[in-house]
Amino acid sequence: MLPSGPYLPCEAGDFDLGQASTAGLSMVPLAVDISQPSSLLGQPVVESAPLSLCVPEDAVSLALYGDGGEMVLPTSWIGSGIGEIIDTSSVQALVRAVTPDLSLPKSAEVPLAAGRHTFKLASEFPWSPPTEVALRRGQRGDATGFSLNFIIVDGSGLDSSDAAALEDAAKVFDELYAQANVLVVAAGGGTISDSSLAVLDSNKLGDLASATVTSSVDAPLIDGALDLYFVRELLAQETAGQLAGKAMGIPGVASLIAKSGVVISVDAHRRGLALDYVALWTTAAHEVGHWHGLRHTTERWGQPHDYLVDTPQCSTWKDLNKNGFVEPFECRGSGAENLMFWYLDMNQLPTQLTAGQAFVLHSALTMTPL
Amino acid sequence: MRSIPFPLLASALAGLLGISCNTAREPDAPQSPPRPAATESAGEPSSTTQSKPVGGAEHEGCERAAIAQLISAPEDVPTPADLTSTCARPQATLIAIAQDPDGLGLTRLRAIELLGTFRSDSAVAALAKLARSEGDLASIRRTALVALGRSTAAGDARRTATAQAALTDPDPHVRAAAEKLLAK
Repeated sequence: MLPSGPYLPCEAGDFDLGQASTAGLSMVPLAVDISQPSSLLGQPVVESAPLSLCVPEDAVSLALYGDGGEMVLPTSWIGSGIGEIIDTSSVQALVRAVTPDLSLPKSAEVPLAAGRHTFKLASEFPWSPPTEVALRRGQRGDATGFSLNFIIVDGSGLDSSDAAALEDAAKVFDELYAQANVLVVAAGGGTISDSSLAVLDSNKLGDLASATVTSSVDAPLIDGALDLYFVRELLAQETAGQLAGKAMGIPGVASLIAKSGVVISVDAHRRGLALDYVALWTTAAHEVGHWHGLRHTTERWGQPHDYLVDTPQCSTWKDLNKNGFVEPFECRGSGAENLMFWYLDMNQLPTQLTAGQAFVLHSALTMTPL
Repeated sequence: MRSIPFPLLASALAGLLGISCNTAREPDAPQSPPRPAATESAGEPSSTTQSKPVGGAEHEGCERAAIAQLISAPEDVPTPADLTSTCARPQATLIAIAQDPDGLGLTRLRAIELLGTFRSDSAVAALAKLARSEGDLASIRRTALVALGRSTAAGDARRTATAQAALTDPDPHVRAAAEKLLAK
């Protein structure tokens, strides 16, 4: 049971987001000073003083980006209508609530209510990070759309010979989001000629987002759209560090370079030399779901779960082979069919989104009501 | 409680990758170079020639389908410990997965990377062969070279020969991996 809280009226001295923003999506910089000694998970950290925001009545969604990177974490949030939801006593709770960035609404049950929201930020060392709040104002809508830019890095392995098959398989992406009444309303395209980016470390996504893109003549790049990058390989830092895809933010936002897109590894989706276009688009749909604010319905250990009440949960007791993971074969009927299950099984692709996930999608920062 | 560098904690949380979400465990520590498993003899035993019968549960865990599924979660990178907790002797299975020409790219690439945590003759031989597989994906060859670098010590003859041969690979990323390997 989530803690419920009263409506918290704004107070004098609160940062007035209504004054600082306009209809639609605004990026509002905040002055934050991280300087007070504190602790997080038993470690010494430095924390900011409480900073209170006044959220306007027509706010649809909000995301707090501590520093646009990964050096700052929100550690406390007391929100109008919801009470404090961040439990900083465990990794699991932090994962569930705030990483990589704090966003609201988390569900219809954990909304973004107007009024006073107070938070703290923490970091390893004292500094004044470039904190921004992304705020969407207006109407949520029951049908929404967003724009995409398809950006292919030279050396990714994709070329004109893939165009027809890619276009044909894109209906998988469209059908997944159509369940939630979400449409891709416009698409642009471009290429990056720097082929050194075709094999990309996942901690260098900013390099990709900053690279020069040559816009397609037939479908020019769209400002403010989600940038969907295709590289050959995407590498994490861990030992077996190949990734199939990664969203630059949960949620992402186009106006922050470090959070502006989604990256997909082409070779991760090959079977032999051939490309599994359907699997590619399903991975893209999963990562785009993250970019719009959706979290895994269940994480790899069977916990935590997302905040949505209608997404199936596959809990730890379903780990029948006791290997510490709840795998797709253990979670059939318990969430493996959902697009946002932690394990996207490329041999039995997910097909489902729920009404609760649709609510989050319709609320997303870069969605436009149709 | 051991100290976890904050940026790495933030990064681990932010990426939701490799995170131990079991509250009884700490988050994954920053990745240090993997400790190689105990080396095996030159006459590398396959799973069928083990001197000790494998228990039922362990055998099931070592089945190819089980290993392939374990290492194929698109956003979650398996650790060597994840692998060996499921199957104590996964090398033969990893080699089979890595060498499957029709296998899913993600699974093959992960298998190759995990082979790099073993220093056995069979692992090294498999990686060297994959690094020279001309008709295969360049990503397979590149990843095999990187894994070979983890699996062998500087100056290892197999490593040197494989890397030198890769200097003329048509793919620039493979050539770069070979240069890096020779420079170590």
